[in-house]
Amino acid sequence: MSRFRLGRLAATVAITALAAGVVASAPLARPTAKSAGFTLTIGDVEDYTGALGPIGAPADKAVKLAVAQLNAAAKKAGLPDRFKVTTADTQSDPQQAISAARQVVDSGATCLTGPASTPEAIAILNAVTKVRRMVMMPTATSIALRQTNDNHTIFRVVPPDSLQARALVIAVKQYLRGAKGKTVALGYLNLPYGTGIRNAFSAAWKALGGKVVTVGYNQDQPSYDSEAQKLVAAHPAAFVIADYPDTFGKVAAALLRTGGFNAKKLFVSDALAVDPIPSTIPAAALLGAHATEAGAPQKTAVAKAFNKLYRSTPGPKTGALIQYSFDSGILCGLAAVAAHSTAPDKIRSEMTKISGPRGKPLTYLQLSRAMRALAAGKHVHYIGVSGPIDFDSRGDTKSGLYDLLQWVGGHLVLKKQIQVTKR
Amino acid sequence: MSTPNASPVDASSEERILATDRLRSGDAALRLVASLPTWVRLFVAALTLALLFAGLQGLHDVAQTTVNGLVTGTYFALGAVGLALVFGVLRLINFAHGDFLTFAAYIAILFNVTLNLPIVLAAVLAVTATAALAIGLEFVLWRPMRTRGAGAFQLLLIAIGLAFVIRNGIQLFAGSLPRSLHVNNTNALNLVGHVRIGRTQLWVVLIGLVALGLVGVLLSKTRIGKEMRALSDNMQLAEVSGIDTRRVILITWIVAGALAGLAGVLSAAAIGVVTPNLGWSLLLSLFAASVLGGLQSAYGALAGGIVLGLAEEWSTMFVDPSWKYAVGFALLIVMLLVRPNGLFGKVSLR
Amino acid sequence: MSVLAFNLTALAHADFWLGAGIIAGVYSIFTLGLQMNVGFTGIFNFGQAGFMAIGAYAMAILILRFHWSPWAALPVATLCAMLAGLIVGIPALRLSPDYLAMATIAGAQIIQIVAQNGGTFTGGNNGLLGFDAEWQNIQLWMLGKLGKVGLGTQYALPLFLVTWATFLVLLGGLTVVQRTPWGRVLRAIREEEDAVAALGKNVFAYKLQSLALAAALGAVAGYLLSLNISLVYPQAFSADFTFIGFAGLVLGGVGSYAGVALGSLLLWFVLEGVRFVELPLAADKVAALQLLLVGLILVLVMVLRPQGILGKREEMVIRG
Repeated sequence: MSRFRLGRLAATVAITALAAGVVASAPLARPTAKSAGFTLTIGDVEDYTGALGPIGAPADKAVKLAVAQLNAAAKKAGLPDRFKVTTADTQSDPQQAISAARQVVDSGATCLTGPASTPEAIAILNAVTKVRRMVMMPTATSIALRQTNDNHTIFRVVPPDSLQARALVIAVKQYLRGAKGKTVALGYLNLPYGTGIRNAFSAAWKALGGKVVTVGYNQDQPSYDSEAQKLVAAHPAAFVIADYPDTFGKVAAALLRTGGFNAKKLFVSDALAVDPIPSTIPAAALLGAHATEAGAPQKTAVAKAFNKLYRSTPGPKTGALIQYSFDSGILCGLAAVAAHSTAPDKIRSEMTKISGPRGKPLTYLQLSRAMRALAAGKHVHYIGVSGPIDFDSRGDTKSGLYDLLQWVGGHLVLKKQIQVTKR
Repeated sequence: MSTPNASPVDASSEERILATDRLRSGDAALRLVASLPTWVRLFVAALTLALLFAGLQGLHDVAQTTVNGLVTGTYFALGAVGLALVFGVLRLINFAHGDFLTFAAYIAILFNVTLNLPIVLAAVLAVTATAALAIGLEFVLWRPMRTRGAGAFQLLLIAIGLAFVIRNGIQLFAGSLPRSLHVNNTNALNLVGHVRIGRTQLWVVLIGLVALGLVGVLLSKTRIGKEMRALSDNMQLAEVSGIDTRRVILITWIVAGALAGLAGVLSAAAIGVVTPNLGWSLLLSLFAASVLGGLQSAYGALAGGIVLGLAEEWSTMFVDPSWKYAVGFALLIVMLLVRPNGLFGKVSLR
Repeated sequence: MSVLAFNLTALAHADFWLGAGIIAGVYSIFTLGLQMNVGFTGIFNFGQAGFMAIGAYAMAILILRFHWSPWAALPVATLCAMLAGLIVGIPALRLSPDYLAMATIAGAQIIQIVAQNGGTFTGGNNGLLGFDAEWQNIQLWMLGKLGKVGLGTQYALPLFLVTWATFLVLLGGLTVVQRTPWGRVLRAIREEEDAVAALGKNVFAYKLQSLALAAALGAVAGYLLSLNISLVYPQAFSADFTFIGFAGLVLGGVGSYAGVALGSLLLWFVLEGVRFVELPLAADKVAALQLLLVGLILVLVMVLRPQGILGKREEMVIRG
């Protein structure tokens, strides 16, 4: 066949693809019958690979644990409803995040947990969840996520970095007994999570009269020694690091090598609040350091139980932000029970029924009780592993309560709690 | 069939003569400087810059970043020399070179962590495995493609494809979660005053320098080295003069693979945490280092690696380190525009 | 022993495949530029993602910071990309192909880093959002019209239609341009540059124009990419994007504009289809498998059939 005809063939293929797309999109008949018991499919879109790769597997395990708890509780409560989860990899990329979201939605998911970064969440929102009025619960921390109209579909258990940065400011200020004139060296990973905390912390600390030296770095650099040197050379009164565990492992080693670093002066944000300390992070960099995390009054008992559960099940032993992923999964399930349905819109409207302040406070250890109450139409105030669930009108957590933890003997211990007033 | 152009610029010999003429007609001082070997000129320039920076930022900062730059410069140099050797002999820009580093790091992890062998043995095995990979690819891929007369575009894309295959093959098997070797990399010692270097990093620099020194000896003193240089200069002439080109090419791949393997293991040990992207993210820096030195010159690649390492680490004194990569790439572009043959390239008065 | 099964019901998920079709369409437009450079002029432009970034960011910045209308911003942003093509081309085009490849990759990386570190002007790591208000209106209108034929719930369909319609228009345009004297000179430059120079043509000027045009095509791809994710975000414009584009290019065939669509569609059908292969391994293997396939396609096509599906064997002579 001549090239000309082959070219025409190719053009025909393209047009056929176009037409096929149109034709194929004729809606299939969707079953609308409401059965006696439903099976909720939770779509877990996680960052398994790419820049945020280390986050995905631990987060997914947390969601799977949540689903197991939901199933056990439903059985115990005598409810016919069942829960399952289907997972897809966003590859830390907004484009692929959309494919991942479509993949799980097409597999029947009607409530999404994840992803871990704001750009991915925005992409999924605009391409998949907004029009379907489907709930998405990202563990993305940027306030930029609220710059876009989400049709009341995004609910975040994870505190926005603006709030957490203020908690860090309060923690550091108390440790240094005042902020005025004190220098803080802030190291951050040059990704949305890191730059978000850097911006918020710097602004707040400077507003209090303190000084900040910020040092940004990228992933996969061959060396972090100059960055560590810059942090130490500022002779700061305290260090603050906003990073994920894998890069921090390299930065921590570099900090230790400078000889001018003291872990007791270090404050880290929640992505680094990992227990136990993974083997990729030199323990000496974290022993005695402090971490902030969303907090709760009953935190200690529930957190202990969850950590034990997490460690005793196969898979990764720890991970960043796993408590938020767990709670997201539980929330999807509870909302479906309250709605008596798996329809995305109905789940969305029930999210306020499981959030405070109304309703009896119940943790995941009392899940079957919570389910019975919800099935009966009552309100429940779910106290998550990450803190009490208190959504504001936008779907962000209202709770300004933060835990200040410290690594003592290799494990995180609660030191005190910090209340951040939400402006 | 077309042979890839070795010269970065399609300059005619006429232009080259004009350039040297201009240089000859310059003043005496310029002639004196121009007559010094490039090494010396480079060293003097670096020293001047260092003194300037010391005046601006303080001696300690300059000294510390210089040490840091020499450490990263060692990995860059090890990787770049391999790239330069392959390009010199085969006129092939091996986009998969970075992934040789990653391969070596993961093999080392396999032996050191999974199988619990001592690090030195694991390193040796990793280096051997990488050299074996390089030879394997030569037999399976490069030699048949050369015999078939594959053009530069084909070879370039094959190299890129190979990079994807190796990198993601590693990720498929080993997963994307970060790993570490069983090496303590937090110990450090004081060199002079408060200038610190990690103990592992010191080993890296020493081993790297020894390896590079050995390669230098190989290239200048041994017969195989002379043959490699002959092939690099003019392949057809070398063939005609009776050199067994196939054997030389094989040795080149072994050396390049071994150097890349060493670079991979050393950087994994020194930095502490390894992901499948280790080599791919270093690749452009390796290109920059080789281009800096002059893509065909192994010595140039060594110098280029050190220069790049120094440039990147020195830049952190003036700009936020998140711009570090951009500095390296900018240096690459500037070199390509201003002096495409590199610091040690052919168009220089020597 | 587990068997690699494929979830056949997945083929019926129209929304997913339309989404894949959008990505394929964006890549097709992107690769039209690559084809013009590599297949028709012999320029190894590996920095196409950088031009895409400049176009997308210029558009978003004009709309958000300077409050332009999208209809004014789009052409001007395209001109910005073309200008970038000229700025890059003037120094870089005199380099030999291997060096040009490296220089363009480095240039594109620098553009990405500037976008990432650009603070509030470029939106930094979070990127820019809100520039697509006009498109959202258009999309709603289209969905309304589609609703009249029962397709109102196919949310991916409007962008799919717009993307492929744009591609077909550009394809038509390029096919016409290729038949003009200008187009013939371009092809001649790829095959025998010295002969063309000997005929008195300013080879450099033609190469520049080719690069600028490719940059414009990259910019258009950038707009559609950004509309798809409603975000202009630095990591979207990585070097990998260009390499994957090349995989589509060689698959379809060097030297065939229409082949670009075939290559991109096939490539993305396979890549997205990997998501539905029931792997006995965890979900994190999908990404590795996808990129492994890209690499395999590059290697196998170049080894077994370098002219791709629609290219001609003789056309594979590219000066290098």
